[in-house]
Order: sequence, then C-alpha cells, then structure tokens
Amino acid sequence: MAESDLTGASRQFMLLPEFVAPRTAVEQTIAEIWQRRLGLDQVGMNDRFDDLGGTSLTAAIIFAEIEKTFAIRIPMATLIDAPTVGLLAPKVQRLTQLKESSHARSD
Amino acid sequence: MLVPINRTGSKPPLFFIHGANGIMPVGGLFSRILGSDYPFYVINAKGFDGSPPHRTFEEMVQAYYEYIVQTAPSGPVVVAAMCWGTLIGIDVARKLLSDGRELGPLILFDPPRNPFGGHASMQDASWGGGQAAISDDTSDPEVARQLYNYARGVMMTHASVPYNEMPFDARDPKQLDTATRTGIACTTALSRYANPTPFFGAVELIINVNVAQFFFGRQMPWQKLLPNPHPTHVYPYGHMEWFRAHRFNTGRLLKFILEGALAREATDVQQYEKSFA
Repeated sequence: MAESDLTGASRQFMLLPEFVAPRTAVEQTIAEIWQRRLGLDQVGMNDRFDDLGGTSLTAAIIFAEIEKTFAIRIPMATLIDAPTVGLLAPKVQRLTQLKESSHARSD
Repeated sequence: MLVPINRTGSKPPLFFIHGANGIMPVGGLFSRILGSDYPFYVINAKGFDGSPPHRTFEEMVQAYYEYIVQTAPSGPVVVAAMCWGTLIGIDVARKLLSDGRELGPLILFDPPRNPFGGHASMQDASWGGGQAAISDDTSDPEVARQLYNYARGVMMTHASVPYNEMPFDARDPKQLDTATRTGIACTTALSRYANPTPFFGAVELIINVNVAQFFFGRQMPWQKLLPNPHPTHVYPYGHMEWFRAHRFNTGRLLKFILEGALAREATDVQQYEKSFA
C-alpha cells in the first residue's frame, strides 16, 4: 500500500451522518471555518469534530478564529458539550447576542 | 519520563505510553491487577519535572524506544499505549521489531477515531502561519491562550480524581504551569504528526462503544493502519470511563489479553497451565 493511500481519510469513508447543510449565517460561517481548518470539502450540521479528524491543536486554531470572527470569547472546551456545528452555532449566537445587548446597555 | 511501577517479575515487562496530554494515570492500579510477576513501567511525557519537553512526535518515539531498550535490553517486551499515544506506540513497536525484538502484543487503548486527522490539517496551505505559531506558542497568542486554558483545565481535572497518579502536584501553581506547558507540547506534537504508516505486527485493540463503527469497515482508517487481523475488544462505555469508573474492568481486560498472548506463545501447554495453578 502506498503511503499516499493512507493520507486521504476523507469524509466519505468516515461513516458520517447524512449531510445536513448549515442554514443560518452563523452556522455557515462556523462550518466554513471547520472545513478550511480540517481540510475537508464540506462539514454538515451533525458531523462530530472528532469524526472529522479534529485534534486539540486544530480545535485551538478553530476556536481562535471563531473568537476573532464573532468578536467573542469561547473556550475550546465548549467542544465537549457541543461537538457539532449544529450544537456549537447556538452557543456562538447566544454569546454574540449577549455581547451586543451589553454594548447597547452601555451606549 | 519513565516511571517504574514494578521492576521485578518473570513475565515480559510492559511499557504503557501516555495519551494526548502526556499522562498515563492508572499504571499503579493496572500493575496491582496484573500482579507482582509482571514488570510494569509507565511512560509519561518528558517535561513534568521542568526539563524541556519533546517537541516532535519523532523525538518522543526515539526517546521511548530508548527507555525500553535501556530498561529491557533483551527478551520479549509488551508495549501498550492510550488515546493519541497509540500512534507513538505503533512506531515504538515498529522500531523494536526492526531490531528483531520479540514483541507481544502491542496493546492499543482507545485510539482516536481518525488517526489521519492531523495530516488533513497539515495539507491546508492557509494554515502555514498557524503551524509556526504553535511551534513556540507565541506567534499566535490567541491560539496559545486557547491551548493553555484547555490544557490547564485537563490537568486540573485529572489531578482532581483522587486515585489518579499524577507526575506533578496541582496545588503548586508553578508545577501546574509546568504540567500545562508539558501537556501543550505533547498534544501539539501528536496533533502535528502527519505520517502514520501501516503496522503489520501483532496488535490487540481496545475501543469504546461510541467509536466501534469507525473501526470495522474495510475502508476505515484504522483498518488501513493495521491491515492484519487483530483482536478488538469493545467496551460498553465511553472514552474516559476506561481509566475512570471502569478502570478495574480495564485492568482485568489487560490481564486477560496478556494471559491470552502468553498462552498463544506457550510451546508447552502444561507449563502454561502450571503458571496459573
């Protein structure tokens, strides 16, 4: 077996659940970050981070980018309770809303 | 960091390699379950004592291989490894086999579902800056902060479990900081490892029920990494439980595997039966 055969552990071989496309802008943005950082063609709402080959290092990179993109603070440990885009997006959305309402109160 | 748990015994010495965060926390318990006739060594990541940690996967493999050959210069040995450390275990075993050492078997405790995950990330050209940032944890402070907070939380969680054997005192802020940085170095090196290649030696896998489906299809990554038939034990609980609530069962399973391996290798059945009399 050539070494290159081993390196393409692509999504189609990973028994991932049926692809459900992200719908909201937050879901789409998070899915796009995961896709790019994990080197995948697509990431569905119900795909688990671990199943996609995510590591602690990629999690740190992804969460640093999510924080920067949405201007929030969210620790990578959030993945333990929210290991999919579908579960993570509402948390990001909530933090974004909290931040906006906090800004509005201080204005 | 080699941690001798039991230096004596007539059975092949067992070397148990740490997981993603650099710690194998239940070596003493497993050693007690195996009994005094099994020499038992834990290999934790280098750095918990303040020495510079290994920075690459290859450094870890070479160091752990040297620990083993210095401790057991001849005769059969058993290598076990947990979580992401299973990838280290495979390459250590490969080096031992290439020396002509008798190895049996390589026991892999709950490996990651996708051992090629790190490689997928490395293929992403836009990630080049991130890679540089991780190498010294300073170029990208936000990534470094995420890693630090996460690793510190993991260390504190492990340390809060009363029966865990930790290579540091989490009550000492300096030691906790050193342990956190060691954990980061370890998980970073493992995450960046990009070149798993097939291993054809004797292997026994222990996997949790949640990932079992990822191990049995012909196209599954682990079937490509371990192409030969290998016994696989599926335990009916989640990843953390094998070394927490169900640690005693896991220890007994380890003993079952080792006794089975010895039985298969025994040329004299009576001698084997006598050893358990």
